[in-house]
This record gives sequence, C-alpha cells and structure tokens, in this order.
Amino acid sequence: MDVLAYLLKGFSVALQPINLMWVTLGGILGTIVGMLPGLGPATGVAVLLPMTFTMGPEAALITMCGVYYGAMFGGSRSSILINTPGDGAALAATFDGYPMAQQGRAESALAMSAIASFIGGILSTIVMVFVAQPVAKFALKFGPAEYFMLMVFALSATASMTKGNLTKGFISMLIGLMISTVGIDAQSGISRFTFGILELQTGIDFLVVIIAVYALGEVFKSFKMIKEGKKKMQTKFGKIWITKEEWKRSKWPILRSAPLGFFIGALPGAGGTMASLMAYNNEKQLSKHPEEFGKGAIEGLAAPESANNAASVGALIPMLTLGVPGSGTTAVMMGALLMLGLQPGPMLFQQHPKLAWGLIASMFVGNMILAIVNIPLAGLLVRVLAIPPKILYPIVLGLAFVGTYAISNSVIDFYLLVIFGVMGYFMSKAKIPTAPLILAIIVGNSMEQSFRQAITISDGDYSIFFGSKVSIVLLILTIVSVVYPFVKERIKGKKNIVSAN
Amino acid sequence: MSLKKKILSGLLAVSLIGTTILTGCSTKDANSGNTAKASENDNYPKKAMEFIAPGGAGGGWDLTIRTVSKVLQDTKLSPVPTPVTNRPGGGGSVNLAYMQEKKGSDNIISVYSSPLLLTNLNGTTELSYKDTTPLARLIADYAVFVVRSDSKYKTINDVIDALKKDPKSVKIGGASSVGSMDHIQFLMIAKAAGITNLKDIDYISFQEGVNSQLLGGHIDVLSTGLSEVTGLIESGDMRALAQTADHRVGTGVLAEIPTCKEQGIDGTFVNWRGLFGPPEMPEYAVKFWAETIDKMVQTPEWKKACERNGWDNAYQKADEFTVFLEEVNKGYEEILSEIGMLKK
Amino acid sequence: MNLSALGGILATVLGLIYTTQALMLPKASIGNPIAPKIFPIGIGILLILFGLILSFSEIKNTGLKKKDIEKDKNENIKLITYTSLACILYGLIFNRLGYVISTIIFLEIILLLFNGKEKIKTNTIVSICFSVIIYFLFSRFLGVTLPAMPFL
Repeated sequence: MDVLAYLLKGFSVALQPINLMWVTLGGILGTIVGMLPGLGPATGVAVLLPMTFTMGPEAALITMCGVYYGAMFGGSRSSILINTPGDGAALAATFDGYPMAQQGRAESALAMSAIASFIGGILSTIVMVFVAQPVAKFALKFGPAEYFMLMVFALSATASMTKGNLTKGFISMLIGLMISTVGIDAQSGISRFTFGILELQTGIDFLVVIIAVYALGEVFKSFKMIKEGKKKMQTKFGKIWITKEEWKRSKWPILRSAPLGFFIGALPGAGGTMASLMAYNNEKQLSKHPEEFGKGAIEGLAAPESANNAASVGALIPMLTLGVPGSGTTAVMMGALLMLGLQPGPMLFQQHPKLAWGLIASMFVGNMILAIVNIPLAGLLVRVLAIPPKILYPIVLGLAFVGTYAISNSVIDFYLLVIFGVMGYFMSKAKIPTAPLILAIIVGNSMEQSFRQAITISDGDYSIFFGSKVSIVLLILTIVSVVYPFVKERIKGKKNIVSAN
Repeated sequence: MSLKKKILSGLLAVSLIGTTILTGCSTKDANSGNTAKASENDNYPKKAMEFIAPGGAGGGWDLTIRTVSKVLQDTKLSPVPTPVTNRPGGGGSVNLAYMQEKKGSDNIISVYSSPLLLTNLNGTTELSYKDTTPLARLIADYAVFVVRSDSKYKTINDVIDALKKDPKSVKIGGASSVGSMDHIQFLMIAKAAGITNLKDIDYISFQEGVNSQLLGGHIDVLSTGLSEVTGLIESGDMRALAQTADHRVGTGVLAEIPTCKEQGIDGTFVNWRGLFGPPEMPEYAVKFWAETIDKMVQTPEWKKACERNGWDNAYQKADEFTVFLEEVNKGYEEILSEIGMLKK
Repeated sequence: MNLSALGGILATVLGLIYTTQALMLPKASIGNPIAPKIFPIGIGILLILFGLILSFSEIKNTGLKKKDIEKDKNENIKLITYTSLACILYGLIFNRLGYVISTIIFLEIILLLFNGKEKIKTNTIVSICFSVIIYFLFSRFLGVTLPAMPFL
C-alpha cells in the first residue's frame, strides 16, 4: 500500500542516529517544561524555535515533535507528586494520581501514567496514519451547532462528577460558567465583567484557576497538618512499575479512552484537557466500582493519561491535513513550520513527502523513546516526595506563581491566584466539588459562543441544533450521561432490596 | 545534618557568586550607557535593547519582531543584543501602557499593527499611536476573502450583489471578534463597494478553527489574512475571491488572486506591521534606528525572511508612516462609527 | 458554622452581584442588542436559585451551627490570611523589585509561616537558592520574561 511505502521511507529518516538524538533531547526538554506549572508544550516549542533555524527542517521538525510529546508525558508528573497540574491536560491526573502518591503508591502512579500515555499515543499514531484524511473530513461536519451540543455533553459530566449533593455540583458549574464569561464577547465586541482592568480583556485563563485551586488550595488545606508535622514524607522508594492487578484494571480503560481522546483532539478547539476529563468521566460511569474514583483508583489515572496523549496526536491532524491548528500548541508548531519554509496543509504531503512522513515516523519513535526515558526519570522525580513538606510546599507556592507569570506576564494573575485559591479552599471545606468548576471554565465560553454563532447562521431558527446526525447523536449521549447515574443508583437500590430478601 | 547544611551553603555561595557575576556584567554596560548620554551619537546603543511583542509567543507580532531581531543579529547591524520579550494583553494595550511608563527611554522597540489604532477607537484604551514614536513601517499582509471551492460565489461582486439584495443572505466568518480586524477589513471593502447598511451584515467570530468552518460549509465567506490560507488556496480547497492590496502580491497561485480594485471596488485594506518606540524617544535613538532599519530592509536576509513568511515589503520611513497612520485611523473611525462601535 | 449553608449563602450573594452587573452591560451594536446579556443573566439567576436551595436545605436539615472544632478553624484561618497577604504583597512588589528579590522576600515570609522562626537559616538558604535557580532557568533558558533586578 502506498501509505506503508511512504511510512517506511519516513522511518529511514526518523531512525537516523542524529535524529534519534534530537528527538530524545526534545523529549527530555519537553518533559521538564511540561512538568512546570503554567508552561506547556507551546513554551518548549517556542524555546527551541531559534535553535531550529540552524538544524535543517527535518531535525527541527523531529525535535519539535519530541518536545510536544515530552510535554504531554511530563505534565502529569507534577499532578501526581504535588497536586499541581503542569498543564490543562494533566488536570485529570490529579484526581487519582495525587491520592495514589499520598498513599505511598507514587511509583505505580508515575509508571502507569507513562505506560498509559505511551499506549494512547502509539495507538493513535498507528490509527492516524490510515484515518487522518477521513477523520479530518468528519471533523469538518462540526459546525457551531454541533460544537454547542458537544460542549453541553461535556458539561453533563458534571452530573456524575458530583457524588451526592447535585445542588453543590451545579453551583460549582455555574460559578465556572460565570468565570468563563469574563472578557471580550467575540460575537458583539463588548467587554464583559472586566471592570476596566485591561488584563482581563482576554478573560481569565483556566490554567490560572487550576493552579490556584489545586496548588494554592492544596497548600491551604495542608497547613495544619504540615505545621504539626503530621504530613508524612515518603522515605523508601520502590521500583517504578505497576502490578499485574493494576494492569488488569487499567487495560480496558486505556484502550477505550484512546479513540475518544484521539477524536476530541482532532476537533479544533477541543483538546487534551477536554479529552482527559471526558475519558475520566466515561470510565467512572462504566466502572464496577465508581466510588473508588478520586481516592486512588489506578484506572482513574490511566484513562485520562491515555486520552490526553491520544488527543495530542489527534490535534496534529487538522494541522497537517488542512493547515488548521487544532490547539494553541499546534498553532505555535505551525508558526515554526512556516518559518522553516514549509506550508502545512494538504500540499505538505505532496510537496515534501519525505519530511511529512519522517515526521509521522518520528512520532512512533518519539513515543517509544519517551516511554523508556520516563521510567528512570520518574525514579528521580519521585525523590521530590522526600523533601520535608514544610519546605516543599513553600516551593510549590513559588513554582505556582512563576508558572502563572509565565502564562501571561501579568501580576493581575497573582491576585487572581489568591482569590481562587481561597475560593478553592473554601469549596473543599464546604464539600463543594471543584471539578465541575474547572470543566465549566474550559467549556463555558465556547458553549455560549457556539450557540450564538449557530443562531446567527440559521437566522434565528432553533432547529439547527437538531439538524444534523452529529447533533442528534450528541444530544442522545448527553441525555444518557445525565440520566445514567440516577438509573444506576435505582438499579443498585433494587438489587440491594432483592438481596436483602 | 551537617553534610546537608554544607551542601546547601555551598549551593548558596555558588548562586550568589553566579548572580553577581552575571548581573554585574549587564550592570557594567548599563552604567556606561547612562553616563554616556552626554555624547550620545557615538555611544548609542550601549546596552541591550528590549524588543517587545505585545502578544503571546507564536503569534503574528511575535513572529515579526523575532524575525527583525534575528536579521539584525545575523547581519550584525545591531551592535547590541536585541532579546525579545512578550507582554501580551488587551489586544496590545497592556504593552502600550507599559511604554508610557518608559517615556523617554531609548532602548525599547515594539511591533504593532492595526489593533494599535482599533483598541483606541473602540474604547479599549485611551492611548493611541500618538502616544508612541513610530519608527518605520516594515511589512504588510493583506486581507483575502475566500469561499469554499464549490461555492456559488465566483467573484467578490457576486457576494456584494447578494449582500445588497439581502444582507443576511451571506454569512461572513472570521477569527477576530466583532469590531476587530477580520470584521473591519470586510466592511471597508463592502463600504467601498457601495453597501450602506453595514450593521446588518452578519459577521460571525470563531475563536478556533475558522478555516474548518468554511471548509465544512457552515459559513459562506471567510475574511482572513492572505498568509493564513495560502496552503488551502494552493490545494484548491478554497477559492480566493479578492485580496485587498492595490497590486498583485505573492507568487504562484497567490499572484493570480485579483485585487478588489481590479474588480471595480475602490478600496484597500492593509494589515501593516511596523516598529514603534516609546513616547518621546530621544532624537539620537530615533536617528540610529531609522538608519539601521533602512539598511536592514535591503539585506538579503530580510528579503528571504519576508518571502518565507509571505510578507509583502511595505517599507515606509517614519514621516510617511505617521501620515499613513493618520489616514488609516480616519478610515477605521468612519467604519466603527457606522456600526456604532466608535467610542470617543 | 455550617459551611455548606454558608456556601449556599455566598453563592446566592455572588449570583446577585453577577446578575446585577450583567443587567448593566451595554447594548451590542451589531446583531441582537441584548445577546451578550442573556447567558450571564441566565447563569446569574440559576446561581441565585441554587444558592438559595442549598442554604435552605442545609439550614433545615442541620441548622446554622455545626459541631466543628472552633479552635483549629481559627488558627488555620489566621495562617491562610497571612499567606494570602504575603501573596498580595508579592504581586505588589514583583515588578518594582524584580523577580529575584521579591521572590526571596515572599519565600522568607511563607517559610516563616511554615517552618517557623527557629529555622531561619534553612529558610533563607532555600529562598535564595530557589529564586536564583528559577530565575536563570526560566528567563535565560526558557525565554520566559521575568522582571530583572532593579538596581543597576
């Protein structure tokens, strides 16, 4: 088959020793950058940009891919170790990864995160080779109406994210929606809720809220325990690997989450963050013991990790096939490609086949190398847990602030960190869940804008939301997602009554 | 415990020594720069310049000023380092405010384009281009209006006629928000073509993936920059109806795109980018950079970079540039006022 | 204090403030003039609603008081307040004093709160090392702009 022939040619490029070295270097750099809160693959790629001018397009491209991937692997490191996600896509890793570390199972968490990421990435890369074009075509079917339905579906996950008090879940979601409305309203050009502060014109970055709620929130929560020395540090470190049992539990979640992540990533505007949250929620719904999620369930870590690496591969599809950046990071990569004289888009594969396929081949290679590198790297990182909490937590604060500044170069964000940190602390004390808040911030603005875009296109005809097969499918999924947790409870309740008899 | 302490103290000592040495180096330059203000002409510039992109990494401004910085270094036209920093926010107005704090300083240069004027006109900021020292116009990108290759609109006039008959019949999409570039550029051409009810035209802003929206058939016409859709025009997925320069630009497929003027619409839109210094930038600094930039735009390195990025050379010296800014500002003012978004 | 009830009350207040602000938003000149307000007003009203539901259901079920240990709360609140003030101070001095100095000051205060006055030597060493290492890592190596030191 034509495609395989090209791929083999691509491998011949990717496997050259010098390119292997580049992808490893890029991968390590990406991992480190990805670990630091507030810095994501975009920073890593931007940093390498000047160096790529001298490298030649092949090496440059391959290195950038390494960085991109490395950052995907790295983001969850800090999620697991210090409850501070390195970027949005690593948020879901905090839900079960951090509890695992707290329970002394950091080694398994780090290992599983690398393994799940690897599998998700490899599967997606293999699939991408064959389905890139059809997936890209399918993604085109997503107009504003479909995006709106997708966002509603994503938000419906709130229902299952709230164990118990649905009112609290909704309050959390509504506050998140409120935060997402701050800034310039694109459909009308007017500023909303900016109170004259210029920096708020572009809205409140969800990453800032994540860092505030998770890093600062965690510090606030642990104050008492730290001062009284009740927070334990891990002094003995085991092998960085997982048990058979853990693998058994995680196998299917990983395999299920990869296609989900891959597809979400292929949609411009939806990326690793959404993909990992949806995968998490999905697995929780399908699991036989959902109550373990959030307390250190290994599959609760494996699923989002698989999804977000799959999403990062998926995000390359619109970039490579259509020249449309699927996310902020791919936008930076596109800029880099342009500077190297390459025009991403349908012509890329025709004009520079060796390069384009070399890129894809290097994705395989990069994935493998990073998985291998990450295991011992994790062994080093896990020592972080040996730092006495009294010193570690202030350092976490320091990192939180510098990471936030790296996002937007604005001190206003410092004050936002404090406000949302206190809010996050209060919410956890009052047992109001924070996940719906974050999800709503990410999804809220897109959801509202998509709705209005759709109405403008249809000239006020609301039937546009039921007009396509995609919208209807999404609508059904949403209803199922909302209703299912209740139905499950009912069935369980009935079963209990029956068994009690 | 004492070993740990020893290591920590050692680390501390190294850090302190390292800091002193490295900051000491720049301190030396800065000091000589200050005392040398008296005999400016031969001693400027002495300390590093601060090149600022008023947007995030990877964006158009960022790309432009990094290219300028690189060419200046590669051609050795700049005797000092020209590191680039990002100061995003408020569509460029955060950096504009920062430049006011640096009034009179001689070592800051920023890149700006149309939003510099728009943020003042739409009320985002009280500051305008008059609160800067325009140094030179460097490049221009132009707007292009594209449709999907199977669209019923074959020329820009087809679109204009359809809009005249029923302003709601054609859905225009773009990436910037209402009242910003992609919207304004289309309206300027529409106005020049004789449309009077600009307010009734439906412009839909897409934060992400606006190209996909056109390709998926969800919008009819896309208003965007020429360099943003080059690949898709080349591949034939999109058909370009018109571009807004007053001459043909680019090579290959791009050069085949007719201008609005050629099609009978007497209007142009230039997405210009230029370099600006802070307000009251000292004479000697302005002079130095005017000469340096003049030399830079003639270098093969610069020309190659422009070609690579699809930038049209639109070099204008400071005086012409200021006149240009005034004209363009007036044009934007009219359009914004017509759609009710002028805040003055 | 029944925190859930307090949460409900705060949510209601927040909803009220937000809805009022939303009602005051200017009219849009392009497209539907009230379109920018609809979504915010909707969210605001829902928030008020749910806030009220939460407050009432909590007060009905468990009353305003709850059996929380008061003493702990106060100390924790004190620490959190001091930390927050330190963060705000950090923001205020950040651009004036440059990254390294303001971070050293910030970390000293935080470490004081966490580690105590006795460990001031360790605190200082950690503050200085962290600030310097991060400065170089981020601004020189990673190209992230951090305010440089002011004294020249």
